[in-house]
Amino acid sequence: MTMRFLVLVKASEALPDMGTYNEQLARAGVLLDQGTTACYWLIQARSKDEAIEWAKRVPFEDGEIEIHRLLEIE
Amino acid sequence: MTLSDTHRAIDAVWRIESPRLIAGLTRIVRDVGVAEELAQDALVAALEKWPESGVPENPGAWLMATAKHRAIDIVRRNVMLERKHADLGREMETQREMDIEAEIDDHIGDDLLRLVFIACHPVLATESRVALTLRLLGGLTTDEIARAFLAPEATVAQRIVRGKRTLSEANVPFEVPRGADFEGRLSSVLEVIYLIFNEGYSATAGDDLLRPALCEEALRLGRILGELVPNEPEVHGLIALMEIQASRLKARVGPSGEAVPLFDQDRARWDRVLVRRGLVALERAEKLGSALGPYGLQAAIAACHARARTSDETDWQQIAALYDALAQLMPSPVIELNRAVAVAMAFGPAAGLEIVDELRSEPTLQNYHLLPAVRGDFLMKLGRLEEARAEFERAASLTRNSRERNLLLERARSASEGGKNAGR
Repeated sequence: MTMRFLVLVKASEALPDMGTYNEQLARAGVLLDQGTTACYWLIQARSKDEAIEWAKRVPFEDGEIEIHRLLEIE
Repeated sequence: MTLSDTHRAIDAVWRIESPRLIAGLTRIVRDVGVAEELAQDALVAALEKWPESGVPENPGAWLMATAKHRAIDIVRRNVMLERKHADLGREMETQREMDIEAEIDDHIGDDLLRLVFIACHPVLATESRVALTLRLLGGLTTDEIARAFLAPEATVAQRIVRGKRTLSEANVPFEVPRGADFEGRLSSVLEVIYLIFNEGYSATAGDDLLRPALCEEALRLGRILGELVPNEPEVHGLIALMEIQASRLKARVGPSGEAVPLFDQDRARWDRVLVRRGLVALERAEKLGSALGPYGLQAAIAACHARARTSDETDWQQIAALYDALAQLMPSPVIELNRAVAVAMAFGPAAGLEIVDELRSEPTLQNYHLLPAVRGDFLMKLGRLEEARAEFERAASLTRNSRERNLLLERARSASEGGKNAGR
């Protein structure tokens, strides 16, 4: 089943290539939502590894990335 | 990283990169089957190299570079053969190679769109279109497709093989159709995507989880298409329809796996992210076209429900008007029946009954249990209880679903008891 992940970036500076990255995610059809002020992306992925692979592609020099799987509350 | 970590990472890379990889390679070798083999070979090379060397910085480029060398070899060999036959000059060969190098990086988006059109080509049987689309554009394995469609793996494998052979035998060009052709071909693509979506939507609680995942797969394909052809209103109409329908996936199944009708669903369980995306896509479709097409109209109807916080707040007049427009675009007895329900909700049961009565002579609805069920409901509300009872009983005899049959028999009983417990 497809899962949802929140990719969060904690960087000291603004990311220069946000637009390109947003576009990559959108073109792959996996982008569900993106932050306008805060740096986050809500994506759909079929596995944790796919989410990690997308997170690796966030264009940033210095900072931290967190990936959270969003669980459904039944 | 352990070996299995690397393998899982490679799987993820494959899923992300394979559609663009196959699309780019098809441009070089002009054959989807050969392109997919080349892409697979590059994957095998990655499986051999990466556990030692680590996953490269840009894995997509690595895979493409690896596959491209072999692809150009193949083209060169073919050109040599051609030259033997047609005595072509050497300049042509090198020119073609240079063209390939330049083209491939510039046109990835176009190539992907060409791949979409080729996978959904009308020369293919519908099931081959579906299988090829999921395989080439969704990056699914044959086994995954088979499980999702409850089909034997060998059957799906054959559909894919047959599909590729048909494309190659028919010499289907790797191109985006132009002019008058475009619209028909695009609607074939939309049909394939919606078919995949509905296959997932009809999954029941006991099915393999890969079945409901088809909904997300179809959504992903729809969104990709929306980026590739951003100005086609029906593409966004279909995206909107799927996003809104998918938003109800959790709410439409009860605790014991039974279907929960729209009006009884707990709206708090509708997925807000998907609802919002659906409404945005619908707005986009509305802005692009002068009038909505069939997918856009169905999305607009779904949106009316999505916007209502409770079922009482539903704008039935608007829904009735939308069904009216839909019935004119693609007249169908089932749409007409839906229109009758909306009209009854908006303007009273008598108005709905008028439409339904016309449908009674419709041959395609003779054994369709919802026709007498709906008619019975209208009659009940109008106080014509004896006729209502007969309709509910008839509906009960036509349905194959036992839960539904019990519900209809219960309504028949309450009609004969004089409309106490008159149901909804």
